[in-house]
Amino acid sequence: MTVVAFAQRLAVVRSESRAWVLNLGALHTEPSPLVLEGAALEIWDRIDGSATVADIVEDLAHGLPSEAREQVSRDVPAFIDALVERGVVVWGSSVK
Amino acid sequence: MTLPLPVATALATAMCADGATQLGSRLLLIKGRSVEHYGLRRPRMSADIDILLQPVEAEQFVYCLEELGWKTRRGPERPEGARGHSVSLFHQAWPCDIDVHWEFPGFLEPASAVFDELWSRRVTIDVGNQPVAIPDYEGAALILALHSLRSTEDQARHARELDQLIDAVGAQDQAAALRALADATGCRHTAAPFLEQVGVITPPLPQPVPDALADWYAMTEAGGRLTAANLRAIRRLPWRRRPAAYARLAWQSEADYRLVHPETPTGWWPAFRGRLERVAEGLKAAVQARRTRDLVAKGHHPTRSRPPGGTSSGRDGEGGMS
Repeated sequence: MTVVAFAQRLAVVRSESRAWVLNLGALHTEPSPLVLEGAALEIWDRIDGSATVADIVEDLAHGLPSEAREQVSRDVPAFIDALVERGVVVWGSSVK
Repeated sequence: MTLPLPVATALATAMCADGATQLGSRLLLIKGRSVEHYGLRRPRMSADIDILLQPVEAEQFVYCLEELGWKTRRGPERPEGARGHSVSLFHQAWPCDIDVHWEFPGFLEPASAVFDELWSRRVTIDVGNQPVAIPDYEGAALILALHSLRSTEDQARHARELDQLIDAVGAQDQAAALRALADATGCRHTAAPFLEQVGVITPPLPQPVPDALADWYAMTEAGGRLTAANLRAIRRLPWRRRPAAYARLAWQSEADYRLVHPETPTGWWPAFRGRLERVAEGLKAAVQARRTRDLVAKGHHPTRSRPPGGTSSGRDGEGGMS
Protein backbone atom coordinates (compact mmCIF):
# COMPACT_ATOMS: atom_id res chain seq x y z
CA MET A 1 0.00 0.00 0.00
CA THR A 2 1.31 3.45 -0.90
CA VAL A 3 0.85 5.82 1.97
CA VAL A 4 1.47 9.53 2.30
CA ALA A 5 4.09 10.71 4.80
CA PHE A 6 5.81 13.94 5.74
CA ALA A 7 9.30 14.61 4.44
CA GLN A 8 11.98 14.31 7.11
CA ARG A 9 13.34 17.83 7.36
CA LEU A 10 10.31 20.04 7.83
CA ALA A 11 9.87 23.04 10.07
CA VAL A 12 6.21 23.41 10.91
CA VAL A 13 4.32 26.02 12.90
CA ARG A 14 0.60 25.58 13.55
CA SER A 15 -2.12 27.96 14.56
CA GLU A 16 -5.77 27.01 14.86
CA SER A 17 -6.55 27.81 11.25
CA ARG A 18 -3.19 27.72 9.47
CA ALA A 19 0.02 25.79 9.14
CA TRP A 20 3.30 27.20 7.86
CA VAL A 21 5.60 24.55 6.43
CA LEU A 22 9.23 25.14 5.51
CA ASN A 23 11.06 22.42 3.64
CA LEU A 24 14.51 22.56 5.22
CA GLY A 25 15.90 20.24 2.58
CA ALA A 26 14.98 22.56 -0.30
CA LEU A 27 15.71 26.07 0.97
CA HIS A 28 17.66 27.00 -2.15
CA THR A 29 14.59 26.52 -4.33
CA GLU A 30 11.85 27.20 -1.75
CA PRO A 31 13.22 29.80 0.68
CA SER A 32 9.77 30.80 2.00
CA PRO A 33 7.29 28.65 3.89
CA LEU A 34 4.18 27.13 2.39
CA VAL A 35 0.98 28.41 4.03
CA LEU A 36 -1.84 25.92 4.40
CA GLU A 37 -5.39 26.81 5.39
CA GLY A 38 -8.97 25.70 4.75
CA ALA A 39 -9.25 22.50 2.70
CA ALA A 40 -5.47 22.31 2.30
CA LEU A 41 -5.09 22.19 6.07
CA GLU A 42 -7.82 19.55 6.32
CA ILE A 43 -5.81 17.34 3.97
CA TRP A 44 -2.50 18.13 5.71
CA ASP A 45 -3.96 17.13 9.07
CA ARG A 46 -4.85 13.68 7.71
CA ILE A 47 -1.32 12.87 6.58
CA ASP A 48 0.14 10.63 9.23
CA GLY A 49 2.43 8.15 7.48
CA SER A 50 -0.17 5.42 7.50
CA ALA A 51 -3.09 6.82 5.48
CA THR A 52 -3.26 6.35 1.72
CA VAL A 53 -4.66 8.95 -0.67
CA ALA A 54 -7.83 6.86 -0.86
CA ASP A 55 -8.09 6.87 2.94
CA ILE A 56 -7.82 10.64 3.04
CA VAL A 57 -10.38 11.06 0.27
CA GLU A 58 -12.79 8.72 2.01
CA ASP A 59 -12.39 10.48 5.33
CA LEU A 60 -12.95 13.92 3.85
CA ALA A 61 -15.81 12.86 1.58
CA HIS A 62 -17.68 10.95 4.24
CA GLY A 63 -21.25 12.19 4.48
CA LEU A 64 -20.97 14.63 1.58
CA PRO A 65 -23.41 14.68 -1.35
CA SER A 66 -22.19 12.83 -4.43
CA GLU A 67 -21.20 15.93 -6.36
CA ALA A 68 -19.01 17.14 -3.52
CA ARG A 69 -17.54 13.64 -3.11
CA GLU A 70 -16.47 13.72 -6.73
CA GLN A 71 -14.88 17.09 -6.20
CA VAL A 72 -12.97 15.79 -3.17
CA SER A 73 -11.81 12.70 -5.05
CA ARG A 74 -10.36 14.96 -7.78
CA ASP A 75 -8.87 17.68 -5.55
CA VAL A 76 -7.19 15.60 -2.87
CA PRO A 77 -4.89 13.55 -5.13
CA ALA A 78 -4.00 16.69 -7.10
CA PHE A 79 -3.13 18.58 -3.93
CA ILE A 80 -1.08 15.71 -2.54
CA ASP A 81 0.79 15.47 -5.84
CA ALA A 82 1.59 19.18 -5.50
CA LEU A 83 2.88 18.64 -1.96
CA VAL A 84 5.05 15.75 -3.19
CA GLU A 85 6.38 17.97 -5.96
CA ARG A 86 7.34 20.61 -3.38
CA GLY A 87 9.10 17.93 -1.38
CA VAL A 88 7.14 18.38 1.83
CA VAL A 89 5.36 15.05 1.47
CA VAL A 90 6.73 11.72 0.29
CA TRP A 91 5.25 8.45 -0.80
CA GLY A 92 5.88 5.55 1.52
CA SER A 93 4.85 1.97 1.86
CA SER A 94 2.98 0.31 4.64
CA VAL A 95 1.80 -3.21 5.35
CA LYS A 96 -1.92 -2.82 5.69
CA MET B 1 0.72 36.60 2.59
CA THR B 2 2.84 38.27 5.27
CA LEU B 3 4.59 35.88 7.58
CA PRO B 4 3.56 36.67 11.20
CA LEU B 5 6.56 37.53 13.36
CA PRO B 6 6.16 34.71 15.93
CA VAL B 7 5.83 32.20 13.08
CA ALA B 8 8.86 33.64 11.31
CA THR B 9 11.06 33.49 14.41
CA ALA B 10 10.03 29.88 15.09
CA LEU B 11 10.70 28.81 11.50
CA ALA B 12 13.97 30.72 11.34
CA THR B 13 15.08 29.08 14.58
CA ALA B 14 14.23 25.63 13.22
CA MET B 15 16.02 26.48 9.97
CA CYS B 16 19.19 27.56 11.78
CA ALA B 17 19.21 24.55 14.09
CA ASP B 18 18.78 22.17 11.16
CA GLY B 19 21.35 24.06 9.10
CA ALA B 20 23.94 23.78 11.87
CA THR B 21 23.28 20.05 12.13
CA GLN B 22 23.77 19.66 8.38
CA LEU B 23 27.07 21.57 8.60
CA GLY B 24 28.22 19.51 11.57
CA SER B 25 28.28 22.68 13.70
CA ARG B 26 26.97 23.21 17.20
CA LEU B 27 24.42 25.95 17.73
CA LEU B 28 22.72 27.32 20.83
CA LEU B 29 19.59 29.43 20.72
CA ILE B 30 20.11 32.22 23.24
CA LYS B 31 17.90 34.96 24.73
CA GLY B 32 14.29 35.01 23.41
CA ARG B 33 12.64 31.60 23.59
CA SER B 34 15.49 30.10 25.61
CA VAL B 35 14.94 32.42 28.59
CA GLU B 36 11.17 32.26 28.22
CA HIS B 37 11.43 28.46 28.35
CA TYR B 38 12.62 28.76 31.97
CA GLY B 39 10.23 31.57 32.87
CA LEU B 40 13.17 33.95 33.30
CA ARG B 41 11.49 36.64 31.23
CA ARG B 42 7.88 37.37 30.39
CA PRO B 43 7.09 36.34 26.81
CA ARG B 44 7.31 39.21 24.38
CA MET B 45 7.42 39.56 20.63
CA SER B 46 10.98 39.50 19.32
CA ALA B 47 11.95 40.86 15.94
CA ASP B 48 15.00 38.64 15.75
CA ILE B 49 16.47 35.36 16.90
CA ASP B 50 19.84 35.10 18.58
CA ILE B 51 22.09 32.13 18.06
CA LEU B 52 25.55 31.40 19.42
CA LEU B 53 28.13 29.33 17.58
CA GLN B 54 31.75 28.39 18.09
CA PRO B 55 33.82 31.32 16.77
CA VAL B 56 35.50 29.12 14.16
CA GLU B 57 32.15 27.88 12.86
CA ALA B 58 30.24 31.15 12.77
CA GLU B 59 31.77 32.44 9.54
CA GLN B 60 30.80 29.36 7.55
CA PHE B 61 27.32 29.46 9.03
CA VAL B 62 26.87 33.09 7.99
CA TYR B 63 28.14 32.22 4.52
CA CYS B 64 25.49 29.48 4.23
CA LEU B 65 22.74 31.90 5.26
CA GLU B 66 24.00 34.34 2.62
CA GLU B 67 23.79 31.53 0.06
CA LEU B 68 20.09 31.28 0.97
CA GLY B 69 19.50 34.97 0.29
CA TRP B 70 20.06 36.37 3.79
CA LYS B 71 22.08 39.58 3.77
CA THR B 72 24.34 41.05 6.41
CA ARG B 73 22.80 44.13 7.95
CA ARG B 74 25.37 46.88 7.76
CA GLY B 75 26.18 48.37 11.16
CA PRO B 76 27.94 51.60 12.06
CA GLU B 77 31.62 51.87 11.23
CA ARG B 78 33.99 50.18 13.65
CA PRO B 79 37.57 51.05 14.45
CA GLU B 80 40.16 49.23 12.41
CA GLY B 81 40.49 45.62 13.59
CA ALA B 82 37.28 45.55 15.66
CA ARG B 83 35.44 42.38 14.81
CA GLY B 84 32.47 42.76 17.12
CA HIS B 85 30.70 39.84 18.66
CA SER B 86 27.81 39.21 16.29
CA VAL B 87 26.31 39.97 12.92
CA SER B 88 22.65 40.54 11.98
CA LEU B 89 21.20 39.09 8.81
CA PHE B 90 17.93 39.95 7.11
CA HIS B 91 15.96 38.51 4.20
CA GLN B 92 13.44 40.40 2.10
CA ALA B 93 10.83 37.62 2.48
CA TRP B 94 11.24 37.31 6.26
CA PRO B 95 10.11 39.82 8.89
CA CYS B 96 12.74 38.78 11.44
CA ASP B 97 16.52 39.13 11.62
CA ILE B 98 18.93 36.36 12.54
CA ASP B 99 21.65 37.53 14.92
CA VAL B 100 24.64 35.21 14.71
CA HIS B 101 26.91 35.54 17.76
CA TRP B 102 30.39 34.07 18.06
CA GLU B 103 30.98 35.49 21.50
CA PHE B 104 28.78 36.99 24.17
CA PRO B 105 29.92 40.21 25.89
CA GLY B 106 30.51 39.80 29.61
CA PHE B 107 31.84 36.25 29.50
CA LEU B 108 35.54 36.97 29.82
CA GLU B 109 36.92 33.47 29.32
CA PRO B 110 37.86 32.69 25.69
CA ALA B 111 34.71 32.54 23.54
CA SER B 112 35.43 28.98 22.47
CA ALA B 113 35.75 27.77 26.08
CA VAL B 114 32.56 29.61 27.04
CA PHE B 115 30.70 27.97 24.19
CA ASP B 116 31.99 24.52 25.18
CA GLU B 117 30.86 25.06 28.76
CA LEU B 118 27.39 26.27 27.74
CA TRP B 119 27.10 23.47 25.19
CA SER B 120 28.07 20.78 27.70
CA ARG B 121 25.06 21.81 29.80
CA ARG B 122 22.60 22.28 26.94
CA VAL B 123 18.93 21.38 27.01
CA THR B 124 16.96 20.50 23.88
CA ILE B 125 13.55 22.01 23.18
CA ASP B 126 11.23 21.76 20.20
CA VAL B 127 10.85 24.86 18.06
CA GLY B 128 8.96 24.67 14.78
CA ASN B 129 8.99 20.88 14.89
CA GLN B 130 12.80 20.73 15.15
CA PRO B 131 15.09 19.96 18.10
CA VAL B 132 16.89 23.13 19.16
CA ALA B 133 19.68 23.30 21.76
CA ILE B 134 19.47 26.05 24.38
CA PRO B 135 21.67 26.79 27.43
CA ASP B 136 20.57 25.26 30.72
CA TYR B 137 18.80 27.30 33.39
CA GLU B 138 21.97 28.86 34.78
CA GLY B 139 23.42 29.55 31.34
CA ALA B 140 20.22 31.22 30.17
CA ALA B 141 20.07 33.30 33.36
CA LEU B 142 23.67 34.51 33.05
CA ILE B 143 23.24 35.40 29.38
CA LEU B 144 20.10 37.40 30.12
CA ALA B 145 21.78 39.08 33.09
CA LEU B 146 24.82 40.12 31.05
CA HIS B 147 22.62 41.30 28.20
CA SER B 148 20.54 43.43 30.57
CA LEU B 149 23.52 44.78 32.48
CA ARG B 150 25.32 45.83 29.34
CA SER B 151 22.89 48.68 28.79
CA THR B 152 20.76 48.84 31.92
CA GLU B 153 21.30 52.55 32.40
CA ASP B 154 20.03 53.41 28.97
CA GLN B 155 17.23 51.01 28.43
CA ALA B 156 14.16 50.79 30.62
CA ARG B 157 13.23 47.41 29.19
CA HIS B 158 16.57 45.86 30.11
CA ALA B 159 16.26 47.23 33.62
CA ARG B 160 12.79 45.66 33.96
CA GLU B 161 14.05 42.38 32.58
CA LEU B 162 16.91 42.33 35.07
CA ASP B 163 14.46 42.88 37.92
CA GLN B 164 12.24 40.07 36.62
CA LEU B 165 15.26 37.80 36.31
CA ILE B 166 16.36 38.51 39.87
CA ASP B 167 12.84 37.76 41.10
CA ALA B 168 12.65 34.52 39.11
CA VAL B 169 16.10 33.21 40.04
CA GLY B 170 15.90 34.48 43.60
CA ALA B 171 12.92 32.21 44.17
CA GLN B 172 15.09 29.20 43.35
CA ASP B 173 18.11 27.95 45.24
CA GLN B 174 20.60 28.20 42.41
CA ALA B 175 23.47 30.18 43.95
CA ALA B 176 26.01 27.34 43.93
CA ALA B 177 25.23 26.31 40.36
CA LEU B 178 25.31 29.92 39.16
CA ARG B 179 28.63 30.55 40.91
CA ALA B 180 30.17 27.46 39.31
CA LEU B 181 29.08 28.46 35.82
CA ALA B 182 30.08 32.09 36.38
CA ASP B 183 33.55 30.90 37.43
CA ALA B 184 33.85 28.64 34.39
CA THR B 185 32.83 31.35 31.95
CA GLY B 186 34.52 34.33 33.59
CA CYS B 187 31.55 36.46 34.59
CA ARG B 188 31.76 36.56 38.39
CA HIS B 189 32.55 40.28 38.24
CA THR B 190 30.71 41.30 35.08
CA ALA B 191 27.47 39.69 36.27
CA ALA B 192 28.02 40.72 39.90
CA PRO B 193 25.03 43.11 40.16
CA PHE B 194 22.81 40.14 39.29
CA LEU B 195 24.74 37.42 41.11
CA GLU B 196 24.87 39.35 44.38
CA GLN B 197 21.10 39.72 44.32
CA VAL B 198 20.67 35.94 44.12
CA GLY B 199 23.15 35.07 46.82
CA VAL B 200 26.50 34.80 45.05
CA ILE B 201 29.21 36.85 46.75
CA THR B 202 31.55 38.77 44.47
CA PRO B 203 35.25 38.07 45.05
CA PRO B 204 37.72 40.97 45.31
CA LEU B 205 38.86 42.40 42.00
CA PRO B 206 41.99 40.71 40.67
CA GLN B 207 45.05 42.97 40.63
CA PRO B 208 46.04 44.18 38.19
CA VAL B 209 42.53 44.33 36.74
CA PRO B 210 42.50 42.51 33.38
CA ASP B 211 41.87 44.78 30.39
CA ALA B 212 38.76 42.84 29.41
CA LEU B 213 37.19 43.46 32.80
CA ALA B 214 38.19 47.14 32.82
CA ASP B 215 36.64 47.45 29.33
CA TRP B 216 33.42 45.89 30.59
CA TYR B 217 33.14 48.42 33.40
CA ALA B 218 33.99 51.27 31.07
CA MET B 219 31.38 50.06 28.60
CA THR B 220 28.57 49.53 31.12
CA GLU B 221 29.26 52.76 32.99
CA ALA B 222 29.17 54.60 29.68
CA GLY B 223 25.62 53.29 29.24
CA GLY B 224 26.30 51.28 26.11
CA ARG B 225 27.80 54.18 24.13
CA LEU B 226 31.10 52.33 23.94
CA THR B 227 31.64 48.67 23.24
CA ALA B 228 34.34 46.34 24.47
CA ALA B 229 35.23 45.40 20.89
CA ASN B 230 35.78 49.05 19.94
CA LEU B 231 37.82 49.78 23.06
CA ARG B 232 39.91 46.66 22.48
CA ALA B 233 40.52 47.55 18.84
CA ILE B 234 41.52 51.13 19.60
CA ARG B 235 43.88 49.97 22.34
CA ARG B 236 45.68 47.79 19.83
CA LEU B 237 46.41 50.78 17.60
CA PRO B 238 49.66 52.74 17.98
CA TRP B 239 49.25 55.77 20.28
CA ARG B 240 49.51 58.25 17.46
CA ARG B 241 46.51 56.72 15.65
CA ARG B 242 44.22 56.48 18.65
CA PRO B 243 42.86 60.07 18.67
CA ALA B 244 41.74 59.74 15.06
CA ALA B 245 40.11 56.38 15.80
CA TYR B 246 38.19 57.87 18.75
CA ALA B 247 37.18 60.82 16.61
CA ARG B 248 35.90 58.57 13.80
CA LEU B 249 33.93 56.57 16.36
CA ALA B 250 32.34 59.71 17.79
CA TRP B 251 31.78 61.60 14.52
CA GLN B 252 29.74 59.16 12.50
CA SER B 253 28.99 59.55 8.84
CA GLU B 254 25.43 60.65 8.15
CA ALA B 255 24.68 57.21 6.67
CA ASP B 256 25.93 55.46 9.81
CA TYR B 257 23.97 57.83 12.03
CA ARG B 258 20.77 57.16 10.11
CA LEU B 259 21.34 53.41 10.41
CA VAL B 260 21.14 53.67 14.18
CA HIS B 261 18.53 56.45 14.17
CA PRO B 262 16.17 55.70 11.28
CA GLU B 263 13.58 58.00 12.91
CA THR B 264 15.70 61.08 12.10
CA PRO B 265 13.80 63.45 9.78
CA THR B 266 15.15 63.89 6.28
CA GLY B 267 17.52 66.75 5.48
CA TRP B 268 21.07 67.43 6.52
CA TRP B 269 20.33 69.54 9.62
CA PRO B 270 18.50 66.96 11.82
CA ALA B 271 21.22 64.39 11.16
CA PHE B 272 24.00 66.94 11.68
CA ARG B 273 22.49 68.05 14.99
CA GLY B 274 22.08 64.43 16.08
CA ARG B 275 25.69 63.67 15.17
CA LEU B 276 26.86 66.69 17.19
CA GLU B 277 24.84 65.51 20.19
CA ARG B 278 26.41 62.11 19.74
CA VAL B 279 29.90 63.61 19.91
CA ALA B 280 28.94 65.34 23.18
CA GLU B 281 27.57 62.06 24.54
CA GLY B 282 30.68 60.27 23.33
CA LEU B 283 32.92 62.72 25.16
CA LYS B 284 30.89 62.25 28.34
CA ALA B 285 31.10 58.48 27.89
CA ALA B 286 34.85 58.63 27.34
CA VAL B 287 35.35 60.71 30.49
CA GLN B 288 33.13 58.29 32.42
CA ALA B 289 35.03 55.34 30.97
CA ARG B 290 38.38 56.87 31.97
CA ARG B 291 37.08 57.56 35.49
CA THR B 292 35.77 54.00 35.74
CA ARG B 293 39.06 52.53 34.61
CA ASP B 294 40.89 54.60 37.24
CA LEU B 295 38.47 53.44 39.95
CA VAL B 296 38.83 49.83 38.90
CA ALA B 297 42.61 50.10 38.82
CA LYS B 298 42.43 51.15 42.48
CA GLY B 299 40.45 48.02 43.32
CA HIS B 300 36.97 49.59 43.52
CA HIS B 301 34.04 47.63 42.18
CA PRO B 302 32.13 50.24 40.17
CA THR B 303 28.88 48.37 39.72
CA ARG B 304 28.59 46.93 43.22
CA SER B 305 26.54 49.79 44.55
CA ARG B 306 24.20 50.01 41.57
CA PRO B 307 20.66 49.05 42.55
CA PRO B 308 18.89 46.53 40.35
CA GLY B 309 16.94 48.35 37.72
CA GLY B 310 19.30 51.30 37.68
CA THR B 311 18.03 54.45 36.09
CA SER B 312 16.77 54.71 32.60
CA SER B 313 16.37 57.32 29.96
CA GLY B 314 14.68 54.82 27.66
CA ARG B 315 16.70 55.47 24.54
CA ASP B 316 16.83 52.19 22.67
CA GLY B 317 19.26 51.47 19.93
CA GLU B 318 22.19 53.63 20.89
CA GLY B 319 24.17 50.58 21.84
CA GLY B 320 24.12 49.29 18.29
CA MET B 321 27.87 49.33 17.87
CA SER B 322 28.50 45.69 18.58
